[in-house]
Amino acid sequence: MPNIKQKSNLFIKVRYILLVILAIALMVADVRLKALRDFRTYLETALYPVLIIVNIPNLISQEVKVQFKSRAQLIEENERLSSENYMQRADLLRLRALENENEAMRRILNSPLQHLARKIFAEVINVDTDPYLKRIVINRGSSVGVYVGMPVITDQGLVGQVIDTNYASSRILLLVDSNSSIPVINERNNIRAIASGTGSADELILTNVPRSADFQVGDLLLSSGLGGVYPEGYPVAIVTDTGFSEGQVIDGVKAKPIVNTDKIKYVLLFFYENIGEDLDNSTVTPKQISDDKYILRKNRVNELIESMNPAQNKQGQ
Amino acid sequence: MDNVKDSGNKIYSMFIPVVLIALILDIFYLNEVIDMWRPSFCALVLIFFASFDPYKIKIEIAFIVGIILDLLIASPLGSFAFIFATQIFIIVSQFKRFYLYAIYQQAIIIGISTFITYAVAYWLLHLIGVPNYKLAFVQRAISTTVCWPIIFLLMSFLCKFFAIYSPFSNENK
Repeated sequence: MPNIKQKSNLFIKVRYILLVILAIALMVADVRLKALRDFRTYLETALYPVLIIVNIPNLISQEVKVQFKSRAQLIEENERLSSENYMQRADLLRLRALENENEAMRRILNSPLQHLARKIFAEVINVDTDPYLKRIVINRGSSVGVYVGMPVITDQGLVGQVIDTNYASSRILLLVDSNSSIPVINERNNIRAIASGTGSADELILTNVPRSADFQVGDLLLSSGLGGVYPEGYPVAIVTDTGFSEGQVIDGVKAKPIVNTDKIKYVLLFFYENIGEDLDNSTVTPKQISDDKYILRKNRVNELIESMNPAQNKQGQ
Repeated sequence: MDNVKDSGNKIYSMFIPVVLIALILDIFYLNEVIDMWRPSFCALVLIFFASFDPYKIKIEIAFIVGIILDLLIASPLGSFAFIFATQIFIIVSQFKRFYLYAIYQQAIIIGISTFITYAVAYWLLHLIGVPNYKLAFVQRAISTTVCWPIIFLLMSFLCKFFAIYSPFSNENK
């Protein structure tokens, strides 16, 4: 036996040192050089069934919850949902009229038109448990056209963006992740700011906000659309603390994300890149000569030139 | 020597499903508050098997399990591989008869090794450039220590049930 022991654990220190070097090399290659992207994609696609298995207890608990709902609860929920649906249908009628009006206005002003983008419905199948990361995995991947950088929303507001896609699943970086930042705009007074994640599920920090900026507790922050990653006008967070203190040049504004990332079950993926393509193809034409203002301005310029010419001629004579 | 019961490669037929279950428990979704206290099931299972039969479950296997966990939770590739390999290395190289220790001694060693390993990994990742702002590994070390007796007794029972023997089981007598 002792011989076997000595033999089996032979060079354990050497083996360990080699493994540590390999681990550090892998970490550097993955984090700094991003060299293992393809490798990760293939392996993660292969490990997708494990994620499905992991999600089974969650599915069962949801199913049990649904099955154990009483008849009274179901009736109540049904009533609430139908009334909500009714109200939303009424709102939708107005929305269409407003959209048409907005389109007409934008045409008049020669501004580019904003088309409604295509969305994909997806289900959350896993949440990354690493305490440092705020990411979720959804059951849609590159097979249905999901791409990296795709904005993700729910019925309540913005959630984050896609950072990694496999064949059948994608990973979403939530707004509250410490690596995430989003340009926002205060709904009340249109002040722009950048909201960064803190790693905590219920806090965003507005970085580099001057003390003179008017942020108040309860202000709604919308995505500003700057930067081109997130679409404009989606609710992001509500200001919870302005952290005003004497002697500080920069204000520490804190906000609470509108979407509770712990409770997300379904998300919508937004084909935002396509809007750009639509813009290029859209029929935003240059001003025509028949445009009244243009003709008027041209006439005035002509008149001005003509009025100057005789004067010059007279002087010349 | 004749009395030594060698369970052959039977240990792998138990090790693989148990590690799969531990992986699932490690990535299973929990609320943020509870999640901070989630013990590292994979590490516990690996430590048990590495102490149970260090000649079959080696640090290389712990490294591969770590890589799989890294891929599943999208942490930097190699971080959990480093953590698991280091934990197994500390247990196997410094505590040669770990399996024969009293359970409370084992739990204390595991707690300390988990804490040290996570702290080193945290420092290493910080050097490499992964922003970590939380010190959740303290809670994780405590919960891992608390869970060890349960895992140890459960695994010992399963090993007996499937007639898998440790090379140490004869030395005890």
